[in-house]
Amino acid sequence: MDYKELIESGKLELYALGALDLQDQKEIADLLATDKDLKAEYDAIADALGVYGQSVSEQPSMDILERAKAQIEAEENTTESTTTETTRVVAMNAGNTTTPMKWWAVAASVLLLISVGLNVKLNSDLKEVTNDYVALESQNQQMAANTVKFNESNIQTNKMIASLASGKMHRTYMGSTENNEGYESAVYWDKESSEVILATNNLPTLSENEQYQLWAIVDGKPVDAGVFDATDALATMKGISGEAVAFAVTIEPKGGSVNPTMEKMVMIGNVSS
Amino acid sequence: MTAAATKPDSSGKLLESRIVQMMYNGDKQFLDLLYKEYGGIMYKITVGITKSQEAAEDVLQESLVKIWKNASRFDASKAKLLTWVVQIAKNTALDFVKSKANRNAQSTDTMADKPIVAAYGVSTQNEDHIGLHEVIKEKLDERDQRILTMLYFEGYTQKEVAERLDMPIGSVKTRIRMTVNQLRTYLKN
Repeated sequence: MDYKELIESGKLELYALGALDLQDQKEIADLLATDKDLKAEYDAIADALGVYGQSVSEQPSMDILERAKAQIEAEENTTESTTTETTRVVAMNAGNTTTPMKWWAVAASVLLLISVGLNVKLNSDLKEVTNDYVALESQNQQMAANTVKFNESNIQTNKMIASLASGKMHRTYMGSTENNEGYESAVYWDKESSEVILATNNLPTLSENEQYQLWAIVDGKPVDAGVFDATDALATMKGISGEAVAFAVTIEPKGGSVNPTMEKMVMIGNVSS
Repeated sequence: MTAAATKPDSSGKLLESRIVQMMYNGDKQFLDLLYKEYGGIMYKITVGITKSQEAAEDVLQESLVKIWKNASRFDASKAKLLTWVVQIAKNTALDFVKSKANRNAQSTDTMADKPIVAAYGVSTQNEDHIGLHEVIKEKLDERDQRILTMLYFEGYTQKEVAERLDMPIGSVKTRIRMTVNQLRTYLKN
């Protein structure tokens, strides 16, 4: 298709500068995606403007970038008790979306990535980590039965995965407490950033008005780390700063409690040093 | 370092694809590279629109957070990073100015009235480009440079540029096309 007139009009330059109104912008964007000659022309324009822009601007202080990163970190670590606002990976399902360039693969690949990443990074915990995720992966039936809940912000999920694979997270295994059976999970905790990620393994489903709640034991006191459900395979919990010596899970009324119901503690694990 | 025009930085293209690849891979470090590559341009825009160094820094910070949050929405088939980051910086800055104007009971023409606190001038950042800037300053028509600056760094729409420079809106388009063509020619040499 001959876009000579369009090219001569200067509209591509304006598009490159972000100076078109929304409608024109969308129009051009769609055209660029379909016509490679037009795209090539735009690319050359954008490159020239980029070089020009760099030649007349000064690099701002790294301070601003650091503040942005701190803000990002702070916003990520703020997780609420309500299930809707916490980042979760529930189950796998091939997401059907037509958006090009999806960020993340389906959960199966995600779990594989995690297990690969962790296998590479962790040494002494290698066997247990592998077992954790092999166990999770083998629960195909349960996974398939659950619905996929993708957080609106895909980047949140991706960040969680990146954290797990980073090797900076300390793993605490939680097993069933006395008189309980079949409870098993792992808590991944980055002491520096306070980030906490929980990986559950086939926990018993609770009734409608109950939820699991994670606690960190800090200075001898239980600190709330958020609620979760049996269907949450992976979840970002509330950040925990300070020296947690153990993590525990109790069954609480839906929404969680201010203090743990000790008689309903089902899992506990000590944080190794 | 002579005053002659310098070759276009082809490594810039590789950097763009690298940053985009990192974004798609969920590599957190993309923000650092992006800041290095486009931070100057973004800052120049936020200064140009807010006319205040302090506000410009806050707006730049906000823009970086937005970029982070929306990285998955960037579609490389429809735009280059430059256009995307420019839009984010500009819109964040314009929103800031608008909300500030709403807060101040009397809001007149906020873009023209505020004194420019931080001057943006010749780059001291990228030695490769210092010569380029001089050449451009010399060779480009003054009014064309003004049009480019207003559109690029000061957040004006074509209509606003046309009004302020007292020219038909069609001319703004033609002039910017010519100016960028000239830039492209100089960069080839």
